[in-house]
Formats: sequence, structure tokens, C-alpha cells
Amino acid sequence: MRSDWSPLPLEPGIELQDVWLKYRVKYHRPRTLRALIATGAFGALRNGVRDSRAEHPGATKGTTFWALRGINLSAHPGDVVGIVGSNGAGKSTLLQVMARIMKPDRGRAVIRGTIGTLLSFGAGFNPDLTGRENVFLNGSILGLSHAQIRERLNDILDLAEIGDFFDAQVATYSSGMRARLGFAVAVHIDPDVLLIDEAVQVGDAFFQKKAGNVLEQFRGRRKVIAIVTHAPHVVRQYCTRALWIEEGEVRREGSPSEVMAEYLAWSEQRARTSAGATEPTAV
Amino acid sequence: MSALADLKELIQRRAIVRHFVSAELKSGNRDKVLGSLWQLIDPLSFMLVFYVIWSLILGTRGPDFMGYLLSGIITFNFFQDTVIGCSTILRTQVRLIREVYFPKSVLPTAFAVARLYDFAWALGALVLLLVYLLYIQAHMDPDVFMKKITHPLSFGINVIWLPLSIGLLIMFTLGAAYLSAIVGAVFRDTPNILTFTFRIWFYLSPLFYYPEDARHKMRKLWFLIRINPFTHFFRLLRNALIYNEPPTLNGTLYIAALSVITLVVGFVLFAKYESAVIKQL
Repeated sequence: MRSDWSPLPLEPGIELQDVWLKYRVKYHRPRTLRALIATGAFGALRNGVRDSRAEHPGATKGTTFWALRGINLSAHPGDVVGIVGSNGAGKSTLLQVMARIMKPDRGRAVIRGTIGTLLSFGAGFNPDLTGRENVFLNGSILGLSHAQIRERLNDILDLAEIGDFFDAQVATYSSGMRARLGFAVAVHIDPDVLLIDEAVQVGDAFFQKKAGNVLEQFRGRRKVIAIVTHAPHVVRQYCTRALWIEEGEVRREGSPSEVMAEYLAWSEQRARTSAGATEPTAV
Repeated sequence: MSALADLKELIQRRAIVRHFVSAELKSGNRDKVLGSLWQLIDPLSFMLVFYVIWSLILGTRGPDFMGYLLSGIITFNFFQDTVIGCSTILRTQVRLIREVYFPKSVLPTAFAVARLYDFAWALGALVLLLVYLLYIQAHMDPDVFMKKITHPLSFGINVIWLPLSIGLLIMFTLGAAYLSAIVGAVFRDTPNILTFTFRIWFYLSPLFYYPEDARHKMRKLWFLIRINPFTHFFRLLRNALIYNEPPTLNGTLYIAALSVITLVVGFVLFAKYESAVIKQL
């Protein structure tokens, strides 16, 4: 499925064909001694089995949960794809498939070029190492040589704005400092595909502005970017396309303004009905 | 097929292994007053405790026994530390695994290499001890020598077998590291089971007793001691480094075959289950 208006006849940087992905969900149901004594051991066991079967037919210990159900997407260099959806819709899982972290159980995911990921904002940093050491470690994981990292060290430090903390252990960082350093590393490896989870909501206002500039730069350099976000203005301002997913399926794909209008209307509707359901007497 | 692709990727991206190794080593010894010196002190103190205790229980042992003890301890510790550490490595690095793609085999590989670095230090300690013991031995009264030294130490041409003994040990350990990493990611009980297993394995390995004594005094366990690869790893290393004897053919072939099989099976299983396993970390 090629987007017809894609400006260059390049191969898509991200190509997802009917991607399905499942998780095993384990249930940990408490069986307290008190309950056993209260109902009698055998009764409790029998009831326990019956209860869990009733709630989750066919599974007492666990079940299979399909987080992605047949996602199709192809994004070309220059595309900035905003991914929206309610909590648990499968947005982050989708990014992990794009990052090649998760392999689809069905379908095909082809990602061309180097990948920069900002999925958890420096959460993967080793807390015992200093910021500088972590930059070298992460840079090498992301595919840079030692010399290339050294070249970019000053730029990374400039963007991250953590000053002398660069040579302190990451365990001493605030979450904002950690996120800024993670962001700085990910954009400076100059990836072909940049994947961001909730990017623009991290850090203070000044940093947000910088991050926005970086996004603009990237779009200018014909990279593929995918952003998962809850902020409508991010999608409208930076994205060239939007993808709305719900329960692992694509609800709507198209121009940011159209998709966002529909998504927001749907969210509002849902918020109103759920509010009505929980407080029926208040209406 | 997927294992070959994984192997290719691991080799291509060996620079990451280097970075993980230095990260592991740096974070391990940071802020310790004695720093890396602990890599020498640890095996030496362990050896001395055993030496004193066994001398008290079994009567005085000659200084040659110190070399015998230390050579066994460093070999066994390298294997044990690597395998137990790898059983939780995918879980401890889960945040990184979820943040960025990289070949997961890097993690157990780098952990094993970091422990190999510890092993190299310990081997250095053993060489220093050996020099000291050879000196003592050479300046001993001949009568005392006859009475005290049961297995005279010697250093010579057979040290050429040392690389073989270490090479096989590395292959065996690496294979076990991949197995431990993948099994440990699926079953959370793995570290507990391993701790128990290694406790038994330690006593079934001729670390602080001589195999020929075990043959007569521990007849029922002799079969287990004989099939224990460490019986042969110890012998290969000790013959090469501290006794100046050629390797035994059967024992060496046995651990060579076992090492190759363990490495291949370990890596293939790791490659096969790695992507399924990271979903449930």
C-alpha cells in the first residue's frame, strides 16, 4: 500500500504487512489461607476453578492476547507518522515492532536503514556508569563506531544540557536529565528511521522547543519518523500523516487534521458515556 | 538457519560486546578502595581458607597443595560465576532490550568475556603463587621434601597446552552461558536451581581432593567424578601449568567434544527462543 503522494520513488523506510503480535497473559489469582479455611479447602478450589473459567473461558492459568491485529503501514523518507489511540491500543507495541525489538507472530515487518529509538527515554542507561560512558555504550548499540561517537560528543552534550553531570553516574540524574541525554543520543546517531514514544511531553518547555526543532530538521533531511503521542498539537504541528489504532487494529489513517478530528470526537464521546455509566444519578 | 544469521550478526556487531564488557567491568569495581585488586585477593583468600581448613582436618599438606587448590578454584569460579550471572542477564537488562534493538546474544557473550577478564587476573595470581612455590620447593631440605610434597610442582614445555585448556574451558562456559540465559529468562527458578546444582557440582569436582584418592575412598561417587567435565578441565590445566605433564588423550577428547556440543547447542537454542522469550521478560 504505497502512499501515492510520496514525493520520492524511494523504497519505504517502514513497511508493515498484515502484522499480528500476541502476548501470553498470566493470571496470578490470590488464594489466601483464610479463604481456604472459611469455605473449606475443597470448596474453595472448586469455586476458584469455576470462577476463573467463567471470567476467561477456556483458560484458568493464562490466555493469549493479540496486541496487534493485522496492521498495514508503509512510511517513506520524509514522512512523519503520528500514532494515536487510547491506552492499551497497541501503540507502543507497534513502535517496538518498527524498532525490530519484537518480531511479529504473523505478517512481515521490513525496516530499511539504521533505527534510532526513543521508546523509554534513557531508561536503558546503566545507572552505575557515568553519562559519558553510557553515551558510548548506547552509541555503539545504535551502530556508531567509537570515533563517530567522540566526534558527536559535544553536540550531544549541548542538546542534553546536563553540564557537569555528564561525568556523574546516571543513578544520580533526575528523570528529565536522563530523558534529555537519551534524546540527544538518539537524534545524534543520525538514524534513517527515528521512533519516538511520547517524545514531546518530556522535559521542560525549553527542551520541548529544542525537540521540536530537531523534528523539523529531521523532516527536512528526508528521514522516516514515527511518533506515539497523546498530544493533538504535536500531530497537527509536526506530522505529515496520522494513524489511529484501537484494540490492535487501524481505525483510521490519513491527514493529521482529519484523523485527529475523528479521534478526538470519538474520545470525547467515550469519556461522556463512561462518565454517565459510573455516575448514573448525577445526570 | 536462524542461528547462523544470529552468529553473523553477533560477529558483525562485536564492537557492542566490547562496550558491554567494559561497562560490566567498570560498574563492578567502581568506588571500591582496592578496585581491581579484588580480582587477585578473592581467589587467593578463598584458596588460603581451604588450605588451612584441609590442613587442619586431613593433617598438614605440603605447599604444592596450594597450587593444586588455586588452579581448581579459578577454573570452577569462572564457570560458576558466568553461568549463574547469565541466568538473570536478560531480565536485568530488560529496559535496554525494550528500548533498542541489538542481538541479544551480545549480553551473555559480554558477561562471559567480563568473567574471562577476572579469570585472567586470577590466572596471574596463580602464576605468581607458582613462582613462589617453586622457589620454596627448590630450597627445601630433601628429607622434608620427601615427607611433605606429595605432588611436586614443575614448570616447563608442557605449558604449550595451556591455551588448549583455556580455549576449551571458554567454549564450554560460553555454551553454558547461552543455555543459562535463555532458560533463566523462561523459568524464574533457574538461579535457585543453579545455586543448588553448583553446590553439589563443587564437591563432585576434584578441587580440594586428588582424583586417585576419590577413586578408592569414594567408590560410589567415582562414576560421577569421572564423567564430571571439571575433573578433566582441572587435569588439563594443572598438567600444563603446574605439573609440566602432557595432557591425557581420553580426558581431553572427552571435554573437547563436550565443549563443542555445549557451545553449538547453547547458541542454537538461544537463537531459536530469543525473540519469543523477550516478550515475557
